[in-house]
Amino acid sequence: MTTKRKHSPTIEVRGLTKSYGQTLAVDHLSFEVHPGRVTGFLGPNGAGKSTTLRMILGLDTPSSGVALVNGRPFKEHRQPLFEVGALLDAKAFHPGRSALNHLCCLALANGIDRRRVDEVLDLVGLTAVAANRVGGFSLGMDQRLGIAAAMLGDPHTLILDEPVNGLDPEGILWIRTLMRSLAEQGRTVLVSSHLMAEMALTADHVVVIGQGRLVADDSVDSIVSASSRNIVQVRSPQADALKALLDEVGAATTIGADGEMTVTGMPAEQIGDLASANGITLHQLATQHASLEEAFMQLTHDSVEYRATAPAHTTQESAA
Amino acid sequence: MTATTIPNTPLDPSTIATGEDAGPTAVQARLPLLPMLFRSEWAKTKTVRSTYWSVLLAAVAMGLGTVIAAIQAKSNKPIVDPVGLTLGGVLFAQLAIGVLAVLVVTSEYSTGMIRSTFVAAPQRRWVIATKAAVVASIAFVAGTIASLGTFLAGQAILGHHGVSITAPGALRSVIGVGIYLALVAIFAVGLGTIVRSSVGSIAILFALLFVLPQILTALPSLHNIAKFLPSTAGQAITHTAATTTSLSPWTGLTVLTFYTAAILAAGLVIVHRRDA
Ligand SMILES: Nc1ncnc2c1ncn2[C@@H]1O[C@H](COP(=O)(O)OP(=O)(O)O)[C@@H](O)[C@H]1O
Ligand SMILES: [Mg+2]
Repeated sequence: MTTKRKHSPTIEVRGLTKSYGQTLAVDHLSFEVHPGRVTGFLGPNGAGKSTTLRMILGLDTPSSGVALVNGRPFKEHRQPLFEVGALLDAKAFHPGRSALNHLCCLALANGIDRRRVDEVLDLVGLTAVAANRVGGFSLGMDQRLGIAAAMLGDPHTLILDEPVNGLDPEGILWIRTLMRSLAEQGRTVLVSSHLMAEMALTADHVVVIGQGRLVADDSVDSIVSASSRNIVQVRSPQADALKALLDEVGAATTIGADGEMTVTGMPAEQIGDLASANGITLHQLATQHASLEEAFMQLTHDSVEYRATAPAHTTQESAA
Repeated sequence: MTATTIPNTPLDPSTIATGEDAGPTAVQARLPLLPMLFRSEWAKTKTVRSTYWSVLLAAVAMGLGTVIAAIQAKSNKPIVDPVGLTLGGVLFAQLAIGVLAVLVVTSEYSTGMIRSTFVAAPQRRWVIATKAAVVASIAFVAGTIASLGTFLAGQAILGHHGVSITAPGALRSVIGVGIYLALVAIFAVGLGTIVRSSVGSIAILFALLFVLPQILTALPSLHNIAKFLPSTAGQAITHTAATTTSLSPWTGLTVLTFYTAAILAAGLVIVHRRDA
């Protein structure tokens, strides 16, 4: 925990678990989503992101655990569009209806004004094609229609499942700008993606899952800086002696043609301490941060390894 | 269809919220759930073409009663049940109404719309119940109008064999068609909710309402079973001449009502429990 939040979480997931027969899609997942920032929900394909979001939205029933939105299960909300807007991973409309009619049908279910339907159509830039059947829409227009539906109730919380999937750069930029401005207005934005690079540009905070389990829940900055994939570049007149020391403690080292040594698996501070304790002179000591992508690869890779090498975990679980 | 393109609108963040306040949006007046759901489901039904096709098909099917009447009028044989004769098209009209009612549910599952629906209205059982109410209303109104039209035209064609609407059981039979089709619609909504697949639901519905009764009534030894099938029982309301192979009109309708209630109840239980 870095800073104390002045808001209570809008979304709380506690011990959320979902199994589909033999498949454990989500495994005792707990995290919170706070307002005023974009929270990225990251994980490789099949990690359980969509399943988690469906459970938060009351579409799938958890095998165990709870998901609360504004302190209550989603299913207990009346007129929920005023509180939560959602864009799901798959198409969620009848292709035979016009965009306008689709939005009107949803608006009516929550007593939302017809005027608001025109507003959201305008917001997403679909006014000109509002009367067209959505079956003829491009993927980008589908996503815009989904965003329009999510914005119908002017909700405080937005849940977007892979909103940039299949979009052109212009569309990606559009959604990114939208999410950022919604968060700046103090809203809660939870957005899933399997694309780390995208999240590095959009999210302030990330919840990373792998095989249904929580891997990391931290700010983008601290995940990147904590990554042991970070490379430390070292120059020393006693490079060979330092390399021997580092090899001994298990850090990976390589020495380039220009005599520069790159060290992975050990933070710069420790390398400096180790060198000075052994009377080695350093001429350069610099950290090159890994990208979020690399940090993520490492995090999820570790979680996979952990599962493969820790059979004791299951017995522990069944005992609990 | 010409390709539609997105107008290139730059995003203006100030247009996102209706109010300037960035805090939690005040929830608007708490409106009663059922009127909201009814308006929404009504709008959904109104805005897909299949609704109009189905209703038109049901009306045309009812109209077959006039053809039957014309054939009968020519053959000049004595007619036992002139009312039921002109309402015979209900046998096919029920299929059109059944398809309409099945699709009201299953098309939402096949297109993914159901998730938008349940995010907007998590009270799933009420959503399904409202769908049933909407299609039952359509089936009753359209069914009764088509039935009355066919009855009047059919009796005119029958000439001196025909009866008037004031004849015993005539009005009951004509309105009975509307009631019968409304029950079939509710039955089909329940079935669609349980089965979810359009093709699967329609196949089961046709087998149950159409094929099975045809087979069973063709075998005299099975008449006692056949008359308790949902459609055979329910269609008793459209006949004026009592026979030993069918239930009495109101008993038959009651039997169908029980089937309908049971299948809708099963659908409501399932939609509440199963993942969407
Ligand atoms: N309805 C379902 N039935 C069976 N398995 C499912 C279902 N939905 C998801 N799964 C499985 O659960 C896992 C997580 O899937 P999902 O939540 O879609 O992952 P993500 O969105 O992170 O790609 C996958 O192994 C997927 O095959
Ligand atoms: Mg997904």
